[in-house]
Amino acid sequence: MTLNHYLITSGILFAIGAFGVLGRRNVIIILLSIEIMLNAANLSFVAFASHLNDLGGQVISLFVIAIAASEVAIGLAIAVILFREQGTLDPEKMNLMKG
Amino acid sequence: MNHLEPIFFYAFSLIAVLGSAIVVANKRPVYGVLALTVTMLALSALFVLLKAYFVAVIQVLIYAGAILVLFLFVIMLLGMAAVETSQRQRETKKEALFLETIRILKILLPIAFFTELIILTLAAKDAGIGTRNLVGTVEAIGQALFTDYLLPFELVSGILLIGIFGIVTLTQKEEELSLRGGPNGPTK
Amino acid sequence: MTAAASAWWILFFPLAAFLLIPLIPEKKRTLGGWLACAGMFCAFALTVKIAWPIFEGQPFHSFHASIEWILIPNLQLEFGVLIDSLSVLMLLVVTGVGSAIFYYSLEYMAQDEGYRRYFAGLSLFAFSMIGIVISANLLQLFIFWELVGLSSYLLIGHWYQKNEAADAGKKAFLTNRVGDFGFLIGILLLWTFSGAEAARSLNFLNLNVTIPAFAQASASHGIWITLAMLLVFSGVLGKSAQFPLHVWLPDAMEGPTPVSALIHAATMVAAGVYLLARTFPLFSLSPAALEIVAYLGGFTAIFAATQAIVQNDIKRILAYSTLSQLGYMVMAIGLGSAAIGMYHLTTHAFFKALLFLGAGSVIHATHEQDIWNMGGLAKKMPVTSVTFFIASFALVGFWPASGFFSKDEILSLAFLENKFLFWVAAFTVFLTALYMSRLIVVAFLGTSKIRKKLHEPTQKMLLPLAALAVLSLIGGFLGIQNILSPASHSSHETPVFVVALATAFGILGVLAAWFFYRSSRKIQNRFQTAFAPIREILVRKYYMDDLYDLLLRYIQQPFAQFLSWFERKVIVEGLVNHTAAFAAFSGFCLRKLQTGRIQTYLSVFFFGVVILVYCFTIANLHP
Repeated sequence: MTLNHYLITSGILFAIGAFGVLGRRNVIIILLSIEIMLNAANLSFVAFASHLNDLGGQVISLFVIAIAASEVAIGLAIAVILFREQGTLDPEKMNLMKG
Repeated sequence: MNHLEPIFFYAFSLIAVLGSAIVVANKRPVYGVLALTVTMLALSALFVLLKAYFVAVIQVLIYAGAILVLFLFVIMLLGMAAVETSQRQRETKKEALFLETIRILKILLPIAFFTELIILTLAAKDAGIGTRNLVGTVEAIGQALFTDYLLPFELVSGILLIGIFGIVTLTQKEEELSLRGGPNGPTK
Repeated sequence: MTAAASAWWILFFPLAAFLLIPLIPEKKRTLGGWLACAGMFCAFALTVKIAWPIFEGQPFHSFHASIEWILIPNLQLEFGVLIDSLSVLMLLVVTGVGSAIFYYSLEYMAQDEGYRRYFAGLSLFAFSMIGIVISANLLQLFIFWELVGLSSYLLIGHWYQKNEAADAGKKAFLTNRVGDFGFLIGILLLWTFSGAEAARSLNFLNLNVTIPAFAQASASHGIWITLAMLLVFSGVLGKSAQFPLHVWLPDAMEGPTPVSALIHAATMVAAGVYLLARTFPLFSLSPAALEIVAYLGGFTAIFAATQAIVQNDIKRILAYSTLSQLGYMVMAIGLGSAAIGMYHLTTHAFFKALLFLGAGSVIHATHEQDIWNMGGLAKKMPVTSVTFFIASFALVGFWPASGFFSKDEILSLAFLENKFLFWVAAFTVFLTALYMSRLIVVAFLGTSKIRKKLHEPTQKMLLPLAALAVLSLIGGFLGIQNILSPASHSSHETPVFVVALATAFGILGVLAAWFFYRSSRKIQNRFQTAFAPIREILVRKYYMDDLYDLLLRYIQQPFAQFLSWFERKVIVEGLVNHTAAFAAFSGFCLRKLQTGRIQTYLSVFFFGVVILVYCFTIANLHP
């Protein structure tokens, strides 16, 4: 298998995740889609690590996982608070900042 | 093993893509979480194929074990009905046309980006996956983490700490607000 | 101390007095008056020092000193002094007469509430007036010119509690503004004519060279010079109260009498004449402008003299007389002799200041300004009366008083240059004699109509009177005319005919007044009914005030209203509001982009990413 195979898989996952972030109107699903995008990036990192024979890619992917964990925790907390305040998880309703 | 690699690769890639497609496409977040679990497991298998064993293990532990469980907890907390928002609102024909255009654009954007990635990938010289003597064992990763990547490692720990602070503050504020008679709490 | 340094110090002393007087506490108010006097005396002493060669009969060496002030491309502006025989003569008049009047004011204004304010204003005036006289360039002169206007405004409105005084101040200021507007345009025009772009300058010495060069450069330039000089002359019209901008001067008599004497008779109104003399080399380039100047001066002379006949207020009579005499000076310059104009200015400063100070003494004693309520003053105030007679003598122009010489110079000049203006001027002599005799007969002779006991003013007020009386009497023998034109006086003899005619007209006027106003009531009444229409016109000042009123009401006011409408509707609503509305509208449009939806933002962001990736990588691929 070549690097390109992994990269194309990663690209497909990233595009799907991007569509989820842009197109879905549910905060939970948006957060899930962000996870997909992060994992797509992880896959690229690890594939490149193998390709370049460098452990750095794998280490970075560990960092990404750690960051993703905290991001999800905070994102979910915000989602919970928003739900309590506004009674919805629809991001289109979150327009307190609208001018 | 070597001759089986393409089979495993395609199988797990397919599973990952299908899983993520389900995440994005279905209406119920619970299914999405479960589908994402499948994707994570498939990805972890891909990591194994790349001999990144430690990353694969961590992927399973943290994603499947922690993050997705957290999602489930939140869904449980808010209630099934609440998290399933209605996708459609009442809209006039004009608005509907406008929104439909935007929706198509939103699909087109990721596709465009994906196309770009494909073009870039194909334009590059088709490179094999290294010599495969790079093995992401615990020992090797540990060595790298605590020598070359010590500073980023510490920074990540700092970010995690800040994340914890953030969550504590967010939740605490909510309670204090209601106790003090904030916007939604009882007034004096 | 060099002469140039003295000139700076002359300017400095009144300014210092002006700045220091407000610091003096009310309890020591007299100190303020003395300070102002000290400033003026010092200025006078320094002027005498500068002018000393003249007194010794030597030719005066003019000098010019300046410091660079504003340096911008195309305009080198200096702040300088130009002392020549002309400015020395004017300085002597300003500081000399000024000193007398300052001293006189010490007593006259002693009881006034605004004592310090008065002397501060007087010092400011002296500073500005000296500034005009010593200015080395037109723009500097203009600045002091405006300062003089300001101090005049402040002093006319000294008793601002009285509506008439406040209005008179405003009237003077606004009327002057009309003239000064033209003056400023004239200055700018002259500037554009003053040679090559890089070397332009408003210095008088430069202008006297560059403007004739400009005039000679092309035949069509003459009209421009005429235009510029007439615009400059419009400043003179305002300041020297010539027709048609004369209306402010009679009203300016609302100010304290010493102010009338100093500013509105002796010096400030003479500033216009001084300006004419100063720019005479330029005026002489345009015969047309000079002709207009001469006719306007002659017209003002007779025009004002006729009005003086029917005035009842002692100060207003003198004010119209001032207008008339200023008309003489302007006419003289218009007829081509700045020296004669300045000569009359000098003698006029002596006797007119004296007349006003005499009137001030009378008013001080009687608290009365209407001549019909006075009468018999000659017996009760002999010293004042004698000085007043001397001054009147000089004003009418009887030998040997100073007015005789200067007026005859003007008349003979007119006789040589323009017969029509000569007859106008000669007839004005008759009118002058008539109204002055009327004033004297009614107010100083006859029986007293004032019940209370009158007394002469104190020595403080009499001293300046005496000094000015001496000058008025012997001013003709001092050789003042030789200061400006050493040779011209002897070159042409005054025609005997002119002298005889002027004296005859003067005597005629005196006799007419004597018989008419000493006659019985019956004859007077018959005359008054016979000439009622003419009298009405004169009392109404030829309807000039009414004319201005109409002009204001039917032209200026609608125009102002139109401008107001234009400003409110077109500028504010049309431009300002629409600019604001445009900003609001574009904000309204742009706000549509700010949907407040995270996903829209994200989409745009992602779109940007796609574009960037394309631009930086794919576009650079070499297939």
